Amino acid sequence: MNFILKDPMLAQSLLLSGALFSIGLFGVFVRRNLIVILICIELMLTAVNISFVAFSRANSSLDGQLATFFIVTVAAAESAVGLGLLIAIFRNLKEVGTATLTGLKG
Amino acid sequence: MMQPMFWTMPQILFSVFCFLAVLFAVFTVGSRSPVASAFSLVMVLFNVAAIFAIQEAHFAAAIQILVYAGAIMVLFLFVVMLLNIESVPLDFPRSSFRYVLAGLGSLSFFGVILFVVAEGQSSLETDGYTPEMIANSGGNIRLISQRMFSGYLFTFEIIAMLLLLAVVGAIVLAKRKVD
Repeated sequence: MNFILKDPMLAQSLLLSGALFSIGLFGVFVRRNLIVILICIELMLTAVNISFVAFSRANSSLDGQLATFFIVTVAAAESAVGLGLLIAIFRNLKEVGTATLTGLKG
Repeated sequence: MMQPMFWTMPQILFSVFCFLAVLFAVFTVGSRSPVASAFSLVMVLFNVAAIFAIQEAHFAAAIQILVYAGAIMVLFLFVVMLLNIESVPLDFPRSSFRYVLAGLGSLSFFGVILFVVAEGQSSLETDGYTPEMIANSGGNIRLISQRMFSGYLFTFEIIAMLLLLAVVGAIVLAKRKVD
């Protein structure tokens, strides 16, 4: 029995983190609405936060929780720039579907 | 070695919040309107904040609710309102091939996580911040702030710079016309 399975809360947190990340990844692959794709990326970032906090508790350290703080800050910056790009795309194409964004396809 | 008790109160609450988080995550990906997706993500974030609070990460839980569910999701809803998009054509593609590929990709990632949970070895050394030690030296938030402004001060300044750049970039991108 390894150190993860000895701690049921850690194992469960890692499974939750993996599940949320996989669901978000599926959404990024499948959906074609740019807003929903950004929302799914936020879901994936949250999933990473869960495993940081879980390992931080399991190793009785605080560095994981600090990493969570920095990730949330980067997520805020990312969503601000992403939504700015979204507004620029909507202004030029009158639509935010990825199906129409084929300018670089060649 | 003593086996940890499973059916204690925090553990039961933890399982309930895990279940709700996954449920709302499925709603986030599956709902047709972006507003419903955003509100489902808010519910996911609340459940994740509860999970953080159960693990005694009080600062992370507060940040999760204030910044994530409070600020970032309001920004998303604001943009949805501003652009007035309810749905886009070809959202949820017809071909099942795409779903199969996406499912394979995300399930294989979940498989990697399962493998890690089953086989993982500890490589980190513990740091000595046990729950008793944290309670005796003034609580989670005090210790985190001490650590943030000593060992992580440079990272903190870089993050502040990044936020400033992101604000300027977002304004430039969303501006109607660049002079």
